[in-house]
Amino acid sequence: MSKKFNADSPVHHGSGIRGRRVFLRGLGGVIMTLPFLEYFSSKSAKAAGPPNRYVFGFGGTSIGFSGGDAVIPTNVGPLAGNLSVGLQPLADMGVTDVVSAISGLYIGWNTNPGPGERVIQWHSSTPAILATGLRSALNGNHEYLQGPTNDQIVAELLHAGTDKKVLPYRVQAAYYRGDNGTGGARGTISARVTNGMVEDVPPISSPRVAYQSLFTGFVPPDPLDAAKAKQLLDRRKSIIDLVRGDAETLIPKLGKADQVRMQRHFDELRALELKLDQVAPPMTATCSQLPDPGDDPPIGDAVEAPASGNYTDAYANGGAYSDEEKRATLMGDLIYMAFCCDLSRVASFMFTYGQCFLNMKPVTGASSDLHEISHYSMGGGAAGQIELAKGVAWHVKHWARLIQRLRDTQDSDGSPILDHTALVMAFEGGWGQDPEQGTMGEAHSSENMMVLVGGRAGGLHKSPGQHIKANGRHPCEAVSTAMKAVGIDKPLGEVSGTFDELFT
Amino acid sequence: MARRIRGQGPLIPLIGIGLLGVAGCVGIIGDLGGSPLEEQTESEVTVSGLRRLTAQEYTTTVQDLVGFVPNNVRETLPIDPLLPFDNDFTFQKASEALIQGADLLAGDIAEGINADPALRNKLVGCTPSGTMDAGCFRSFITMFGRRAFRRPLATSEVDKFATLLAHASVSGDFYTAVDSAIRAFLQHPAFLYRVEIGTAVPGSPGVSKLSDYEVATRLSYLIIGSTPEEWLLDEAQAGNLATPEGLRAATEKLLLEDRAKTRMSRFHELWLGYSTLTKTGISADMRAETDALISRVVFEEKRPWTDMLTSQETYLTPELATHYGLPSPGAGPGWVPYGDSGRKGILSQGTFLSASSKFGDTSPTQRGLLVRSRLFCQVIPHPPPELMVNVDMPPDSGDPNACKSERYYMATTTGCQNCHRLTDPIGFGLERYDASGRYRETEPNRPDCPIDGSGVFDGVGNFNGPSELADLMLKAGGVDNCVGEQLYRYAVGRTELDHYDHGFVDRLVTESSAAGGLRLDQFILDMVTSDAIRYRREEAAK
Repeated sequence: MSKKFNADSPVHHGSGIRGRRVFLRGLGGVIMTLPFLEYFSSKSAKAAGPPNRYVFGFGGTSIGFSGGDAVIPTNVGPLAGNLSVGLQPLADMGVTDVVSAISGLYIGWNTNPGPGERVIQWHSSTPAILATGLRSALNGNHEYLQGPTNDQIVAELLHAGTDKKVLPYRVQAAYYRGDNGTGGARGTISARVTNGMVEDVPPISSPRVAYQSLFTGFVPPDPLDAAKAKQLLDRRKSIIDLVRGDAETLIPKLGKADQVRMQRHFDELRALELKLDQVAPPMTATCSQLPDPGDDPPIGDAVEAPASGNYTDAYANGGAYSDEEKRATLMGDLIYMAFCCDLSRVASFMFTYGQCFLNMKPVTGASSDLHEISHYSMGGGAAGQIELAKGVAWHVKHWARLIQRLRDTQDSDGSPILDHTALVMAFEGGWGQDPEQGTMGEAHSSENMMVLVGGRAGGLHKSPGQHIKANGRHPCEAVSTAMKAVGIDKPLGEVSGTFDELFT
Repeated sequence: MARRIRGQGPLIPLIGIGLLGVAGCVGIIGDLGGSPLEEQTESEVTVSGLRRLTAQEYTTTVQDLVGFVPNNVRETLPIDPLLPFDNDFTFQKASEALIQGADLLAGDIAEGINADPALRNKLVGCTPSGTMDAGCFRSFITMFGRRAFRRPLATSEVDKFATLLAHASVSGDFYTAVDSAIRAFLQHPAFLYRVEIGTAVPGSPGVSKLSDYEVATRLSYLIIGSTPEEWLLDEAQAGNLATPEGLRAATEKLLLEDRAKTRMSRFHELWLGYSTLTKTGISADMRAETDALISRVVFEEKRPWTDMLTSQETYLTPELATHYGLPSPGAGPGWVPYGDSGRKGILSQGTFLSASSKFGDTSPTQRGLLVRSRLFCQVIPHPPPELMVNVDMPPDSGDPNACKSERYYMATTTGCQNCHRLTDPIGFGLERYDASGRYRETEPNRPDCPIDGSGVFDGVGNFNGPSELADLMLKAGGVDNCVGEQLYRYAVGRTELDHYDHGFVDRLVTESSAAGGLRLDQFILDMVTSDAIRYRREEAAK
């Protein structure tokens, strides 16, 4: 869906500062090295430290129900030694010092939403708000992104000179309900503004495609393989040049609506062509080509209507799962290496769809999907809350693993990459009042929401990570905090405010 | 029906001829859209745009083009939105995921071809005299390109692809250039998209006349869901698709193919919502059951589609017969009479009955909605916001021990009943059939909750079970119109229809039902032999 975007919005057009060099393949195979700004920008470069990086993580689940949760730490204060089931992976990964949990967050609701508010309908009204800071659209379009998302806004500032403006990854391979299709807007969490129109950025959900997209141009260490790879790369450049040229030629022959479609196709081809024109950065202790992940795990079936008629059996038999464990690991690895090699500085890391129907059997052992767990499929009270928290913890584990690796890897100046990275992990809901049902303590609620903020960019976490209770404040303030850490110090959409205590 | 000519009589054709002469001087082949359109034809020209091959069409197209297809297409290409059909071009978006996926698959296919010398030699069609055999390479480009682009390549295009022969000089292997060409063809917009340009029709702004190749492509994807075969391209080249007779002959030939049955089954599974039913075990038997009925009604006996609702027998494996509690066909699959089982037609089949479950069991609301929206094309809106209804939670009457019939209170509740009285009573009339089509008399795990299976088709009558529902649906009327509308949506690749479409569909349904009920084979024949099939209307810019 394309929507016109009001220009009075926080779209930034900044130029990044980059201390590294971009390598361009010259004529006759000669390798030239040019300061990136000389090539990508007319603006003068100046020496600077490592670039900032940014990750927006999203999980399509609420964190509690049945009047409570097993995610939010009991106490306010240091996270270390203060973790519940849902956040335990932070301790397992040893990153409690560089992650803060902000709880008690709240998105207001209204039949005619005000700034940053949602409509009454629950699914899936909050993801678009979390990503953009903009109020829900009406007329049934409340699931759609209404403006540029935080990742794209940050990328405008940071991306100059990198191969990929944003890595738009989604781990969950399919919706797993109904037609098992795209899940509509629930599977998209990134949008940009092009020619004044908001344009969804469909995520890459294939690790193989993501790998190919990132590592095209990398040269294998073996000389024979390297020669073959170079030949193939040269051929691909020539092929894409041909295809791109024909796409460009086709555009003026088309009607206006088709011109828009083909222009977008052309733009993506052009991006691939530019990628092929660049030589991969030199292999270093931190930057290397990851092993080829091979074919993607097969996409699992939907489980809404099992032939057996038995709902639980369908989960036990492996439906609604496409080895998301492997997919999350691979995509986390790709983001990590993209940051190490400075191929990209921004990632949209969507773990699960809004209203997540991912089978939890292979993940946590529960024969249910995550959404149903939040609706008592594994029981209510503390027992059910723990099962839900295990699902939340799966997201946190992979997010924390990325933090851990960034912390343990040196940047170009010898400091940890995490010192120049800010990460967000937001969840679809909290628990509390459900205005649709008129009930309390439910998963369908934007009360008691929690956002995790990680990293040390811009002075984040000078002090060890905290649990902050921020009753009534908007979760986008937490997102803005991470954005501020990497240089975007302005409201996200319609939501102002940051948690500046994370910088002390 | 009388047809009138729009425009000023012979003047415009003369202008057209004059322009043709000028165009011919600069090498443009073909006319400028020919004569002005008859009013009826113009009123039936449908909007079309760039249609990207769906993942399913990509698979069949590659299979037909090169003889095999990688097994990872579904994982590699972006998922097509189902609305309910997978081919609504107005929702297709190019993305990095698409471009990279197409690039990867093109490489997979090219490598697969090069790994099979017999296949490679067949596709190349000539034996190169040496590494740089330009003649053989151009021959391959010309031949393969015609199939890949579904039209002959212009000389300039052949020239451009021929430059890829340089890749052979680097590797010292002619087939490196073949590999490169295949990669280029398979990620080219002319392959990934069904490009319709045509030539502008004088006096009809925004309307263009399609080339015969573009018509052939429409025909082929509509009927067999794949790229035109050589014979169909030959028909286009010979100009035989320019006449209704030629189109009819080609259509009848295509309809004889097994792929036409596969395509018709694909239409049904998307339309009736069972496309995600697995293709193994008892689900595969259910699919075979429905496919057999489609094949019999549409292709073999050429009967009205409504016979799908009233068929008195069904095609079962012994296992599926046991599953349903029907008589066994014997040692292998075969047709079995329903007898007095209360079953009849497709409404009794596991495919249809599996399609609209929710909350782990059948959903009376969803089943009623399926009947209303997909078989009668009625629009049942989502609950309005002011009702604050959560459709993601099971209905709850407040009594935890309530039976299902009590929990689905919406059909009798103020505010809800306006819609739910149209849907839920239909679903409750099918409640004795579970989500896999088995007969039952009590709710799952609730022997204390009997199911009486009585239903109401609002304004038409009461019923119990699929057999009686089928009778009421026929009595209600309107199924034919909706079936035609749905097939038309699938054919044109658009969910939202406009007034041009509705007028065209109405005429097609009327004419295709002349022999007593809408025949889908006849609908397709009438559609593709109409004048309008050879034109396109430009989509309004957004």
